[in-house]
Amino acid sequence: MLGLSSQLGPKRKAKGKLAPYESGMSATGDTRGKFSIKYYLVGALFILFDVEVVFLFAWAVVFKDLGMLAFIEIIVFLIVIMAGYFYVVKKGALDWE
Amino acid sequence: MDLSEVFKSTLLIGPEISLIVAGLIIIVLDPILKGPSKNNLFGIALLGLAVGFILNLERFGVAQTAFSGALSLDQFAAYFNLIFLIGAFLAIILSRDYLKNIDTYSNEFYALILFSTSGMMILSSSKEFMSLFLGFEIMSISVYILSAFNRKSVRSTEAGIKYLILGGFSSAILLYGIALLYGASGSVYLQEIVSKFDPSNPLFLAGGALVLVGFIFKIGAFPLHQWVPDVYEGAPMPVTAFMSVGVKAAAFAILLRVIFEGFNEIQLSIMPVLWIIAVFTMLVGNIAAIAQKSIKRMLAYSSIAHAGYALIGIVAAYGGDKLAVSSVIYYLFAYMLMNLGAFGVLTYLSRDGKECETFEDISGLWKKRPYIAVALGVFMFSLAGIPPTIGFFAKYRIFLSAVQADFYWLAIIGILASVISAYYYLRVLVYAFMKEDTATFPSFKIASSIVLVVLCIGTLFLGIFPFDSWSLALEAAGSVLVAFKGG
Repeated sequence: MLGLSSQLGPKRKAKGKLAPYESGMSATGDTRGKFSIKYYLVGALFILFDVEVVFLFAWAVVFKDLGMLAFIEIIVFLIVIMAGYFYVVKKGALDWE
Repeated sequence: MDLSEVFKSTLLIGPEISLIVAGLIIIVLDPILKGPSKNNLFGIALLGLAVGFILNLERFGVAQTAFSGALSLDQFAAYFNLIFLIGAFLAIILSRDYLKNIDTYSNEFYALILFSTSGMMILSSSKEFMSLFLGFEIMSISVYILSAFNRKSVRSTEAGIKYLILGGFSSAILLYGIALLYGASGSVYLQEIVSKFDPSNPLFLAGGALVLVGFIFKIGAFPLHQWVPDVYEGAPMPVTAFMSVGVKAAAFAILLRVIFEGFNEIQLSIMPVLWIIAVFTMLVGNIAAIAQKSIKRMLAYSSIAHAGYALIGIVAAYGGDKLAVSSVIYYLFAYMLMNLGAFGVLTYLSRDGKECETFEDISGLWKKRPYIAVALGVFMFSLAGIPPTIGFFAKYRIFLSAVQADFYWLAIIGILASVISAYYYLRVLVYAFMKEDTATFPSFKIASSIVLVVLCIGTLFLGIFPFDSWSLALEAAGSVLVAFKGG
């Protein structure tokens, strides 16, 4: 039935009908728009510190209950994150220009 | 979980920690050091692997659990860790000579191999889906980067992107399966999922099937094998060597563990599926390998075929047969030696940033570099399963266990497939030994030659005297079958 209607049904092509649906906006520009590489830089930095904060916050809320061992664990976690951050900074991956 | 339990568990995972610490030291020292001292950082990687190896030896004989049963540090994991650690150690030495020729970051390479190996070790010992997924991703993400490591080569970049996208899909499917199993059972521990298993609940079946798909992808078995040739061909040679033995063995380790510790009740129902997968994997891998013009791509197809042989062992192990499980474990160990050797020879013959890939590149090897040609011969004989190599013994055990479990057809198809494989393995030797010496070969490389000698001796010696390594595999199989209660 679907095949028949697509073959036999009347077709009135118009510019608006053939344009891709963009939530009611008319489409502008090429689909292959270029992103600045800096966009990914911001993204990478965001991920790095976002993940860090997620764990730090949860730990800080219950800091008194967890005690020394959790403190050492969070330090280890920070060392690992900071080793990566140190590497990235030293390699110049975060240079804006 | 009690926090002191965390502390005790941390002391138990010394091998994993030593690799991660070595990797972090390399990453921190690499930007600080200047000049020639930078080139010595691979020593730290080897040291880390050696420490991990020694600490891992302590795990033989004592089965312990860490992190509230999330990790099971038994002999099964220890045996697989040996495969990963030896593979990584030799791959790092091989890659040192290789990386000199291509202008790229070499120290990051070592660090990534260490991280990937630590992920494999977590994967092989995990008994709980969260740590399983953690190990799975640590292993995979490092290997995605390694595949694209020769970043000035279009094909290497293509391999990396292909692997990343397809691997991302497979991880997502695996994770969805884990989510369904969690939804059905309320637990991520394998044992609890099994104890609540209920065949009438479709969530269990769908979840189990999706988890299986995730593993089959990483193994590179039949319906999900399409990525293997492209990625193995495009990736730098030492990386192909490393991932064809490491990632495959790790995926088999976790498949064995999930089948024989976790899903013993549904084991019966997935055996027919694995039967079909094993047959098609062997046939597709071997038949496609015949048509290849590049040795590297041919070895990629052969690695699909070898995954098929190992799957025979898993099918034959139905009902928890210890001999069949240990034949799979031993096969992966043997495959590590011989495949690392085969790729090692090709790595050795790569020069000036150009990889030794086509048959013409090794033509006349015997006349110019006779020792390398003999080593190539040993590895090819071993891959084809011809005595007195380890490849013969491993294949013999696999087919024997299939016959003992009354899977005659599977054994016959397997033997026919390995007869087909002899054609393309021996074709390599025809070019190496009988053709005119038209190709040019690199000069002597000391470190890589030592690796090739070690692998060659291992392949021959263990082929003639397999007893100790085989009994270790038997014990490893015993430790993974502890929880198994029969089909």
